[in-house]
Amino acid sequence: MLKVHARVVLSAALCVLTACSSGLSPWQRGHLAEEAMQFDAERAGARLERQYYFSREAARGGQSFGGTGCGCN
Amino acid sequence: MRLQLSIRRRRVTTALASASGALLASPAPVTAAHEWDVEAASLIFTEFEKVSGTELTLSGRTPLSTDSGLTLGAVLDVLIGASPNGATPSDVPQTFTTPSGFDSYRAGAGEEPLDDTYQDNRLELSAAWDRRYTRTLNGLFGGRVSMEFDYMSIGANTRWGIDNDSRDTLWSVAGAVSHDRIHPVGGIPVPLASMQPQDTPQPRASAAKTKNVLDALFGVSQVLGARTVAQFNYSQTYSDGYHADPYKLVSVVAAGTGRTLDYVYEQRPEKRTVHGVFSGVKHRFDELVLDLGARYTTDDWGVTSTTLDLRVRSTASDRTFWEPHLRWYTQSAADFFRQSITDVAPLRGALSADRRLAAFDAVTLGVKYGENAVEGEAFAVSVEYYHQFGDDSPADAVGVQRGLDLFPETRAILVLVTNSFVW
Repeated sequence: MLKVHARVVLSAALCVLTACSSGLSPWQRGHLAEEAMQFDAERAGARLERQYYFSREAARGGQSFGGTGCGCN
Repeated sequence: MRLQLSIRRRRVTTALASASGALLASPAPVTAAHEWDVEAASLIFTEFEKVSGTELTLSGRTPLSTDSGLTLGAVLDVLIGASPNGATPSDVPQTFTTPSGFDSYRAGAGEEPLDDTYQDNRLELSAAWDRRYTRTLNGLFGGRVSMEFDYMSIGANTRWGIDNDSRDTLWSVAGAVSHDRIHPVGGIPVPLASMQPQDTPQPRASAAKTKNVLDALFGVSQVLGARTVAQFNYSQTYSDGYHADPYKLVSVVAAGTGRTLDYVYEQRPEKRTVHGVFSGVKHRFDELVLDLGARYTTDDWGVTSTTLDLRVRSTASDRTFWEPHLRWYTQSAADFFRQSITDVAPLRGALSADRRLAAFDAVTLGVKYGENAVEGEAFAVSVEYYHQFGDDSPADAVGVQRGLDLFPETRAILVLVTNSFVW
């Protein structure tokens, strides 16, 4: 699983660095427009979950900014 | 026959008129300006024998023009229960002074010391203004304030995104600054000073301390095909100021017996820099969406962490979906973490027994059920189980500590409900 993931990330990085285009036509982007295909860490539910982990784990950042407040619990 | 043709012609004429009317009316800027796209969410969690909480959030965006919008948001957290105070379990009952200095609480023999007077409420208010400057460039400016009875944080943030012409690549850059002020119950403890008995003067350094935090994030999202998108982010967080948890203690135990002799207040470094990378990929199969994310963070406190997050959403139904979720997290201990120290060890420098700075693993397992968005309305509920576990018999345990559970596990149930609608 990790090897597959690393390969996808590497190909994405190469694709970005070479400014490649997917060549997709608008009518081929139906699946890409679906809600499940969006990277959106700022949704309300994601923010609440992030706040929970912020108070219990030392890591922060990566996909978005960390939680807010004391986290003293 | 002529009658049927006439009726058909009339229906076609009516349909065309409706369609052209709809096309002409479709921008509807006046109506849209008064609508709010609202997101509401509530997270209810309970940790067995520890903290329970309810977190509510409500945010809404309304367009100010065809290219800009205003988002207002609020978050309310209500937490209550028993919070670990950092002290190590012992083979005899232990008594601790509450942060105020005017009361005390006990932990039984072999029990994890928990401050059962813990209670915290937090209110966060935020506002953001976003604007699309060109077809491919958009920006956002925001501000927020977070208030607790013993903590206040004020911050500002900005985020920019630029697409390439084919809209296959989105570059993002974001930044945030915040100023935090903590004014704990009883005041800021003198670092490494001993906790005093109830109703006697406690070692206090000042009433309040501050901390400044700078966040930066650079990201890129890339379309890899009609069914695959990927994202890569790098983030850096720099903070300067008071990082300690004023309510956390460190046990000082006898080097020979392991029995507790004293409790001292923790001390952490004044600065911290965290680097994080995240990569994620989403792939749309015929009847499911695979969502895999990986995050790695490292900081100058010696904490490194890895997070793997896997979600699989069924798309067999147009109306509803099921989404199992698995999250695995692991972190190493901070350089200055000690579950306790012995009375022969030098008492200086940074020192903390806060288990959030210990080495541990955590697993989240859950499932979400949702209804797909129809005309801006969507609903989802998820139930998750969180389990945090570490080394309960560390190598530095001495004497009676060897027979005690020095890393009591945290188990929690989280129920998250999200709802979005147009108002």
